[in-house]
Amino acid sequence: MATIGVPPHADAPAAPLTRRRRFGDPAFRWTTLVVSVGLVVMLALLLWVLADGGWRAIREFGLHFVIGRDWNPVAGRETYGALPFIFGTAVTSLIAMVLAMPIGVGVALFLNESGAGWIKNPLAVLVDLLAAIPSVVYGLWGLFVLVPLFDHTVEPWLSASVGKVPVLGGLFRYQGPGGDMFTAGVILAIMILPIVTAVTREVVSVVSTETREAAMALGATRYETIRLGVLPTARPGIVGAGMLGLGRALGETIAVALVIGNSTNISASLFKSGYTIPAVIANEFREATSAGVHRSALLFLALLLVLIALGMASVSRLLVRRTARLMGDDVAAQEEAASSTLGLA
Amino acid sequence: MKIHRFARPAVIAAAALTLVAAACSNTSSTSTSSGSTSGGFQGTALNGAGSTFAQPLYQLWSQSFLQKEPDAQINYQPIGSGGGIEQFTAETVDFGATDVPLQSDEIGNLPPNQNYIEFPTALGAVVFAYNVQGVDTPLKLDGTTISDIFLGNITKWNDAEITSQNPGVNLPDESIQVVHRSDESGTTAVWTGWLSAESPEWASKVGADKAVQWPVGTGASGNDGVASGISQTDGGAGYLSYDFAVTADLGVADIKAPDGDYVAPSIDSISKAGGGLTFPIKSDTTIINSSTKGAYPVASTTYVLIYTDQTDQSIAQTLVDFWTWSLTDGQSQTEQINYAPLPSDFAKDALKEVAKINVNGTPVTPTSPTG
Repeated sequence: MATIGVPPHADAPAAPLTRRRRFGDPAFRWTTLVVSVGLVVMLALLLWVLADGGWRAIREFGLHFVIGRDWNPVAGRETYGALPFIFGTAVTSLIAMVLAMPIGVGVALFLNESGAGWIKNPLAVLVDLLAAIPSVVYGLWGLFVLVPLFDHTVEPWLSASVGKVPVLGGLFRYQGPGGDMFTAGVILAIMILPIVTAVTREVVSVVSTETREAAMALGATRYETIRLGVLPTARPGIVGAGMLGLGRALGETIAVALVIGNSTNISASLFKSGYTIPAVIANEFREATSAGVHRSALLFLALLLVLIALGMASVSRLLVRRTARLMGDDVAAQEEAASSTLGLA
Repeated sequence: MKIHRFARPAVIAAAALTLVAAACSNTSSTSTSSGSTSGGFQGTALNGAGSTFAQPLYQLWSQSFLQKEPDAQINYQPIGSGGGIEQFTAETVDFGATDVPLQSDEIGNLPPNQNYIEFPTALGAVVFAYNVQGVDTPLKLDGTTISDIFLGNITKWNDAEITSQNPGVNLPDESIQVVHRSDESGTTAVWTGWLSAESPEWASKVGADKAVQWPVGTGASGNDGVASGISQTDGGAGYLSYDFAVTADLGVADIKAPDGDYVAPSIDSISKAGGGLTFPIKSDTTIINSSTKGAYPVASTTYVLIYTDQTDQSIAQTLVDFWTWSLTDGQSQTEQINYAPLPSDFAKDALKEVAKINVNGTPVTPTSPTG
């Protein structure tokens, strides 16, 4: 600023503004560009490190690693097949989704739509508090409270009732005491409940008043308004909420490791002990040496988990976009809300 | 009332300050007093890494040793035996610690022009723990029976193989629920090593390592995980490190020794298992199934690795002082935390190994003779 003399009164604010814009905009653009490129580079590096570390296992076992059922780290008889872990991860996450989605969406609707009154705020805070509990605390609570409770009460009862149903019953056959996939699924459901509820509340709250009023004007009850007006409009967002929850369930480590029983079974019964990918990595990585293929196999597992998670994220993007398109342009805001919440996490 | 509420934090803060001050003055007074007894050498900080099994013991020893050499802060990282060997190989620690002796390929990885010593520091054991209602006296079990339980060949507590060894004990018609470690562990290596020695079927089907493919049972993390798994489950059975089993309120079996006697795990019976130890430590050195009378069969030891040719005088001096003290005065402290001391003759042999440590060729003698 080497201007001589006092500039005219009107120009005073204009001159620095354009100047600032000239330097500020490119600076801002470059900074953000570097940060975003850095993020991509970091992901690429992460994948590279995992692939590099897992290379020995990939070369030695190839496809067998994904479909094999034996996981034997004993020196001299090493063989690694990850199917029990993939199975356990899928089953526990599925149980979590089946339990958490209806409850999470229900709680969100109750809080936002039903005019819940005095209970609304305490309940909302409580659900949010669930998210603040560290996962190891969930795991310990699961180990000392949930596992005995399920062993002695819930699972015998379920197997005596639902277990009698011809086809479905196979899922609920009693397997004796100890941690199992069902208990792990329930813990996961509780853990992903806050995120499902919070995101669903967010997307339900942006459903336009016109939609609600239109439904009301047609004589719809409050329930019908939710079913015909709110839920269809909010669907892409709710799908997004589910995908966020699923992402957390897939990667949850310590709470699952404490309650799932950590044995490499593939069983139809949900009451059988199992194992997940994050749990086996956490359990075995610490003492795995690079002498055999063991460490490499665990890194390969980690790569597999990252690929599954990335795949889920892409599928969820597609789902959100697709449902949004099917719903028409009234839900543009929905898509935005959903993808912004997806992006936030 | 109001004053009281405001005064409370002040009181707490004052109390805390007093405590801190007391603690400070305490350490400074001990350091000055012990400084005079140890002939002036104050020691220096050491770094060690490895065995998780040995961690409570090395922590206790390093705290006690501060009385001798107040600057000898021993920073021990319990990263596992494998990690300990890796750190030792990479020369990033002053000593490594491992529950399994160095194997030939690991020796091949060591820096080529370095000599090292490998010596045991204390003994431990792995026990068979169980939770069976109505059984008050310790169960008597042999290796075949225990391996059959872990193979899934025996599934009920009243199986003839168990009852025949325990006449008069009322064993219930209850399923055995096996709990094993899910994390990799030296405890598992000792346990499966012993099972392999006892049962050809175990050796051929499963084998021995820090983690194995378990035929039956559920996995739990750490000794505490296994202990709570057993205690929560009626009919539960599993294996625990001895130092942990004495504090867990569980049944612990007497195990049949090679001479036919059933031996209960105790400090004394574990210490006897070290009777067959000799130097040099070889890659297959083990104290499982010791032939010494009254020795507990599933015993183990933990080793320390140190390079003999040191370059830093004060590090070498502290290494020699600390391990000399540990192998003499320190041995009597092992029982406080339920580790067994080395047999005294063998501890003397271990001292000769420590004496090999030198600085650029000059031997290092312990600062203050002990023992």
